[in-house]
Amino acid sequence: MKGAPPTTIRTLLVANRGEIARRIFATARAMGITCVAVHSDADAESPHVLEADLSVRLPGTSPADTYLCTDLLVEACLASGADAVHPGYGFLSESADFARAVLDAGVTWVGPPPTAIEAMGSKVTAKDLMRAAGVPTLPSFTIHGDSTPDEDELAALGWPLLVKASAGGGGRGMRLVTDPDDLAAAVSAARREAASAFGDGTVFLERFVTDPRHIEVQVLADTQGTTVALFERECSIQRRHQKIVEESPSPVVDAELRRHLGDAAVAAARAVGYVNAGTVEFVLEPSTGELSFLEMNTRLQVEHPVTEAVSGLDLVRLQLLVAQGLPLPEEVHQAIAAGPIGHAVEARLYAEDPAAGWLPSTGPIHRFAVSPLDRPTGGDRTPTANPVGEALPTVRARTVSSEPPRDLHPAWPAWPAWPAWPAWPAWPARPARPARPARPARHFRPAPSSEAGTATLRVDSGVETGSVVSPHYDSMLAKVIIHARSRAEALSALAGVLERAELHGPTTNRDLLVRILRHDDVVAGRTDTGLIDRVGLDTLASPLADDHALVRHAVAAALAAQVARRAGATVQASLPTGWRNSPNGLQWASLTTGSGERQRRVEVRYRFDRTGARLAALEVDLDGARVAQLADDQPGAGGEQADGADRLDVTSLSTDHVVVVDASGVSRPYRVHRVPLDPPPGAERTGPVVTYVDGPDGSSRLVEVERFAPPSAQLAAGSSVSPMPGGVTRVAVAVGDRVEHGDVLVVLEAMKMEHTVAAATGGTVTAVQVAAGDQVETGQVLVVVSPGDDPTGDDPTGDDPTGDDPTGDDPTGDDPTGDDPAGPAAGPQKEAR
Amino acid sequence: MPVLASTLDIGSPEYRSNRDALLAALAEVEAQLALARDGGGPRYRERHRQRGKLLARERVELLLDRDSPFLELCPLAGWGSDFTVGASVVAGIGVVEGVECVISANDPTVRGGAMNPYTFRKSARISDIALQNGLPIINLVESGGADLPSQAELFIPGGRAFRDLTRHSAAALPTIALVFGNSTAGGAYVPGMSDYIVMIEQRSKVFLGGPPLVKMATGEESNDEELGGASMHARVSGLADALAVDEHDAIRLGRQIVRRLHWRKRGPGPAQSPEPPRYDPDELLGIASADPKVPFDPRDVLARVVDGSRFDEFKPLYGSSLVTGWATIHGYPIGVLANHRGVLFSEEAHKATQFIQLANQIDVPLLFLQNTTGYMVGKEYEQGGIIKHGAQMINAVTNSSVPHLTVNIGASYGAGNYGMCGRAYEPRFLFSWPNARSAVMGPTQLAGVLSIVGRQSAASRGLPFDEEADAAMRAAVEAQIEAESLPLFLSGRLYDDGVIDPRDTRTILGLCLSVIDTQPIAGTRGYGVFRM
Repeated sequence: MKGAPPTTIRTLLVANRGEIARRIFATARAMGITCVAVHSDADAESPHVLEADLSVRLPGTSPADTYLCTDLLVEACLASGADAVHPGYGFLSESADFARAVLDAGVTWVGPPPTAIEAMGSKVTAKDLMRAAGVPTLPSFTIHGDSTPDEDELAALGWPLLVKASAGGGGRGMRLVTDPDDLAAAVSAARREAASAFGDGTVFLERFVTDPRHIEVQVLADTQGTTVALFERECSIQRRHQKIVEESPSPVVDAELRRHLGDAAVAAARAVGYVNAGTVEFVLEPSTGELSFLEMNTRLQVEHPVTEAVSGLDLVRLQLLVAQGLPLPEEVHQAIAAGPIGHAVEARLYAEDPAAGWLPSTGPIHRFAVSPLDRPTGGDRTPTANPVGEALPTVRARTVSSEPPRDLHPAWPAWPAWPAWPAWPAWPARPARPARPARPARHFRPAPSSEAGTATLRVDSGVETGSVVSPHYDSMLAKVIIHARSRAEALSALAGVLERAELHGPTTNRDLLVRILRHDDVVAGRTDTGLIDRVGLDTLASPLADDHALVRHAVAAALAAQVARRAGATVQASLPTGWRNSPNGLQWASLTTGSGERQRRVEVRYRFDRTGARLAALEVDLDGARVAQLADDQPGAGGEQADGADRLDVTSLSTDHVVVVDASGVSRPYRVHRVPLDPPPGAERTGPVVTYVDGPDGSSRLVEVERFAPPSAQLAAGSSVSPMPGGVTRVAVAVGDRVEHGDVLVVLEAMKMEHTVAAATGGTVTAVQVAAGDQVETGQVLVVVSPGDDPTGDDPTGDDPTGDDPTGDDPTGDDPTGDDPAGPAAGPQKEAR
Repeated sequence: MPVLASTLDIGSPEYRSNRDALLAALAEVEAQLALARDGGGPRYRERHRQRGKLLARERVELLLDRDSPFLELCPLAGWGSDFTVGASVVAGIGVVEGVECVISANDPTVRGGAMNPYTFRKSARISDIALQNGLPIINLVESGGADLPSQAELFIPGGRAFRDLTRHSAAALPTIALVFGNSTAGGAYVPGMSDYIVMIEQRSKVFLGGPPLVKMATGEESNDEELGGASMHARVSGLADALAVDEHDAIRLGRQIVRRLHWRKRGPGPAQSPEPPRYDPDELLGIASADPKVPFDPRDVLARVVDGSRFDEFKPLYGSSLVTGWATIHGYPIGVLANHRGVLFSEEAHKATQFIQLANQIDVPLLFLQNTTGYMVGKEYEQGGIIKHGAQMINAVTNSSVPHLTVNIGASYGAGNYGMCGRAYEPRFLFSWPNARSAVMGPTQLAGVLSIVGRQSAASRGLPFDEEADAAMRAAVEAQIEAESLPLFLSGRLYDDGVIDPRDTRTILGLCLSVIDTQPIAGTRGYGVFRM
């Protein structure tokens, strides 16, 4: 590659999806390059596809069929006329074979040479190369075949040990061994796992650094032989070996260590003939300050925006320049000379439930809105009377405040080195594709979306309101990045932005992120990879909304629902809500939040006065105990008095904005977003509603319990009854038989006609109450089929209208098999499961 | 449209004393409403609950669309009688699946929901309301049948209940029975005559004769379930159309039935968007005089009832003892006749007659705000033809075919009650404020008339007149008439549809106008409007 003649990229295909595709397109488009997206069938309507100039379908949904399919991707290049491929991160970004296939097709590869990818792809090879190049590495021992280290060799490594797969990554094939007796078993297990996962069973032993800091260095190398290091990033806050909070610079790296890190990283890159952007990862032993090479990622990293923030450089632009054979421009050297400016922190928003073992969460995103820095929750007040799935105009995180801060920060103008974000050209408005009129294209831009005070907000998201999180791919929704003058300010601002974000749909790790960003150890810079385990999920994953907040949220949800019902009334709509001339009882709403053992149930009972404008009574029970009542409730005014109950009242009431006031006079405005789900059969016309409440005290997702249960069994579940009086001619089943829906159970003869009684459901016959020759009456139970142990039965996750389903909140919409109870006939069967 | 300029001085002592008097009267009414809500009392309510049953009002609440209004009708029926206030039935108009329905629920905590003569009168009134306004009826049935000790007053007229149901059905007004418990003997015909019947497994019992009666009549041994169990009726007799597993399920099925009625309102609909009055309806408490002898300006009432306080007065300079004009309430157009200074003279009768004809010409309902002491008496007026003119007005009211609403906001005495569309003139709805009085004449006048007649009688027979006895008689008569002209008394006898809080006047009229709008409005035709 070195010295290759400059080529010009005119059309760039991004062999990736989601936020990284959008982010690369944004830079490419600004450089006048035509953008080509590829997409699986599941991603056909994804933002990254809608924003591209051209898109190519990769048939299928599984990664192997689509984003990992080298042949299809190369074909897509040729079909679309792409003269360059950017692999993004993940998928084939570190596949030397793919890089080679692209290059063989005569297409420019925006990334390092395949040889460099290969060299770094094998951890064993890489370590050897690094040692040779003088890069500090951890002592290790590679196990080839059946070789095992002897006592001395083990002693040289030190304990505990980590067994790692040479070809591995992301924690797979990794085993921690603390007891020498367990070593052999761990090695063979790791070998098996590595062989099946990576096709290479080579493993090596390495000393395990307890709770290290994970520090990585961004390197850039051009084809002219210039290799530079662009500061470090610290990515110590990880869950299950995956980074979730990253920052630059590291709080423990001083200028000298930075120089040392940079030299080591440059040496590492040079050792493999590296070109383009890459990242050299190190572990820093906190106690000794010892630095060791971990691995090199031969691609753009997820967390590259923090480097962009503190350097003022657009790394994708630099990648594209280098790929075209151009030298690294002068501003790179200037940025290095200036050093990192300010502090940037990135948090990764995932659709996952940390408290439920990080279970990924899928389904439609009903609202995705990150407020600008200087706005309260929700930013602009967008009307919420939108049906589910319709794209809401919630591009709220896109406003750029042009006003420089004035008196608040007098020092601001005196900070000349503060880097401006790359000046992105004004975005051309591009009309929606005629073929997809449902969702107008909205352009992602990696430019700062909001500036206020001394902080700058950037949101790199792969989703928007109306997107669907599919189970097929990584569940990262977005990266939220704050660039501020100091680390403390960045952490604080990022926590605030996340707390105010409206994330409606799948469960996210937002509350966890906020708690991490505000944790004392994190604020103090005491971060290491063991932080989450050490602090514990009981603390970190608990909802930001405490019980008092939950109760207020439920009140807001219940009363907004009331407003919606009145607004939708077809008669007497202008009369006061719930008016009675002889008031009797209270209106009632029962809401649940969470699922399984963590489910909470809030009952809100209320009555408005004769004007319909003010509450006359309010009672709230949380899990069966009275926890709140009307602020000025008088004894005998309907509600029983409860000691210690919160005193609440409600002012300002609409379907999407409710203000709940504490008796102490503190008002809290809540944004309320009601999402009606498809009604289960037999339920009230409106169907269940999921309500998202966002406020200054956290967010809640509440599911209203239907007033009437769906039609329930009128007989023992699975009973088959005689349709008419007659004689039994044949009993076709016996107790214990397995039957399928429609199987003949009993044959009757009546009025000279034969009538067949068939199973209404699959299952096991648990009772046969007649025999051939019996006379039966209408309605007499003949056979009982228990569907309980039917392995072919309905998808157990598919029919829960109460939102217990931890994987998403649209049980009817999510269920690709569509086997929710299809009608009343299915009701009894479902009930019995 | 002109906005009324209300002259009410809410800082005045009169306002304050009026308000205090009305609040005291309201407290009395509320105490009686509380009794009605209490049904058979705590003990029977608790027993009912322990059987796993919902109370009658809970059933109604569950049946209604959430947060929709419910106008309970005749809640004080039976007041002053030997029977429990409310007459062991909860009835009213509510919205079910977006459909305004008449709902009637037996209260089984009151003597097992047995029907007494007041139950019958209340049910008859509710039935009339449903038929006149064209509403579906939903009966929530759980009644032990007739209150046997009072059968003499009940049995023969009581047959009307079943006749009404089927006539209702014949008028294409669906009838729905949700049977929550016993509905036996004559009571069996309530579900029996209904279009849709839902019964509850193990709960509903519908039969003509129970096991003892069957045993007596035919010697047959039988049990409840065989004779009238829900399961039997759903599977064998076919009397039940749907079998519910429990009370919630029955109510769910009832709502489902209403949804499938595909109900359409056929009225002309509101004429404009509703607009709240410019004056606070809360001030209605201080308008009606604490002293019934002091008249008040009904425009102050209208300013707190009609949309935007806008009122186009008709003939303001003529017959000014009666205020007439046009307004809207919750968007529905209405013609208003409201007494101003109590007495109706010939001019007022002319004005009313003409106005009623105008409303019929344009198919607009009429609202009568009663505060009248009757038509003027005296030589001058008799000779001026007050009888003819009063008769014209009563004729016009009688034969007006636009819907009428009447509210007694003060007094309703003598033939003024008739001319101002009293109960006998079948307004669609008639409500009273707690301060209102109604009788053939005022208690003092009536006692005085009796006294004069007595004095004349004594004189003609040459007997001495016993002044002391006369005074005692006058006091007794005055007290009796006063008691009999009170709203609780009249409401207890079903002479109105309820005593209402004045602050609710606008809401109730708006609700009634919406209900009326279920059917087309057709005024009386035949002659041109007679200029009076």
